[in-house]
Amino acid sequence: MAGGDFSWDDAPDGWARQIRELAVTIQSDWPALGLTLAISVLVNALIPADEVSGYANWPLDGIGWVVVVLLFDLDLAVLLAMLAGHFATTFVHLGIAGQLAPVTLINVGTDVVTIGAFQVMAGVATGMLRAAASSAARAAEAEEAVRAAEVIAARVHEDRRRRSAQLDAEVRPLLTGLADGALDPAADQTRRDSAIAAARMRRLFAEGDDVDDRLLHELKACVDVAERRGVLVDLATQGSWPGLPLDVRRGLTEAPVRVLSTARNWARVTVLGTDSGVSVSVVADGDAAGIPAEADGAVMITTVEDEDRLWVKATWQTQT
Amino acid sequence: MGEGDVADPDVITAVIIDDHPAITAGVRAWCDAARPPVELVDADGKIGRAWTEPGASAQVVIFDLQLGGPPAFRELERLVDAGRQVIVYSQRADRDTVLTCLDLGVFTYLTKAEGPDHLIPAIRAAATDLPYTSPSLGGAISTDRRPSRPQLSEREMETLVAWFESDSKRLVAGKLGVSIKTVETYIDRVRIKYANTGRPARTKAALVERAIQDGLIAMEDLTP
Repeated sequence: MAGGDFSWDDAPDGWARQIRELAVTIQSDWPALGLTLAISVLVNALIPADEVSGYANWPLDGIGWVVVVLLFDLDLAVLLAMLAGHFATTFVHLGIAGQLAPVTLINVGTDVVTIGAFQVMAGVATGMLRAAASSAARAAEAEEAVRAAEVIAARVHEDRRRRSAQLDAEVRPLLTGLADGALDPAADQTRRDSAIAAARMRRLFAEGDDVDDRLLHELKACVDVAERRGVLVDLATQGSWPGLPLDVRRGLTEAPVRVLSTARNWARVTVLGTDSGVSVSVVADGDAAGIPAEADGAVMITTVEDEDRLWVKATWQTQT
Repeated sequence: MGEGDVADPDVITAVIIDDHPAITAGVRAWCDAARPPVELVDADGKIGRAWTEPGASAQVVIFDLQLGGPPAFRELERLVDAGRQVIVYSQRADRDTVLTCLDLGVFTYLTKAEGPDHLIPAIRAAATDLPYTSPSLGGAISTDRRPSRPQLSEREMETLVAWFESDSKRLVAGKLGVSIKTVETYIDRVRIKYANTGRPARTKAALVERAIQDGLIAMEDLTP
């Protein structure tokens, strides 16, 4: 393919890709094909011209089959060209020797046609097999994609159902209570329950987001709710922590959510990541009502109260 | 208050290098409200003014690490090398920045959020070579994992973590079941241990010297 200033990139896209792939495959088979053709020429050079139509020219058959095997994965046109080149050596040999009598040509021609027909048919058959295989592969791929999409959709649906169930259990009683007058909107308890439910809803929404640091992201959602209530929140982090599973993140944020929701004016929220674990701590001017005193799953809760301040710390320790 | 002559030995002078006028105005208000007041020189965001009068003779430098560019560690180092007591007062709170400043020999590190509660006490401490560890500095030290870090006892570590989390010595004391004085001692001892490691600086030496004089820490505790 010594092609002056022709560039494959200029060819139409589909074509260009096919030709480039072809060139790559031929390159890898090239030494073997070259050797086969060289043998084809060599055999013709070794046997006398009057034996070309006889048994001495047995490679006429064999070389063609070798070419068929070498070109299994290529286009039929390439095979045809190679076979034509191979058979041509025989006729060139006859031509050079001046043996162009009709009987000789008919003998050789018959050989070429019968042998060549089988070889070309073999090439056609492999081509058809290849086409069937690749269309089957495409179909399987498409099926796989559909199945994956279905699984993802099912999981998203399941996730939404789970969240909606959680919201239902928590928010519905509050809303119905407010609607039918069973809950007094002015009561401290109602306000506190509503603030906690609002913070949990925000956390629930934040859980679905795709972010690097989920713990901090969910915590910020809770801080945001408190800030909207006019609480001045100071959030400080130090150290680093790994990606934590959902139940650990919930355990770490649950107690802080409650404290933040009862904070009156200010709160200090800190996240500290050390070699031994992660802790989320909240100091605020709130009260300790409703804070789980002990452990919440894998997370340990400690509470310190001091006149007007409440300090709650949730710690999760890495298992060693 | 009046003019710049430091006639009253109780009045501390400080120079603030911060490129946000609102920050400078806020700090000035705190300085004026302090009793006794702190006399504040505004460097107008220019480091050069800490080197020329009246900034040059201010006892304490309040330094915003980021003056419209990357952290000014070089400038910070020069100030420390000249023996200035520098309080870094920055927006940043990441451990590496805080520890780098500490290594360079700054007096203490305050985040902007800590200003209202901690800046004036820190200025007073700086003027008298008494250690001052802000919660953010405590947090950075408690997560220090560098091999060169000083050895801290378990109790010191607990205290430091609790100080970072609660920003209240009384809460720390309540949690650990010790007196506020003990909490202060633990925190200050950690600060002295850090002053005694790494790159030497005159300000660090002064801190250690004062701590030994006051009996806060013994010589033996400082030899690794």
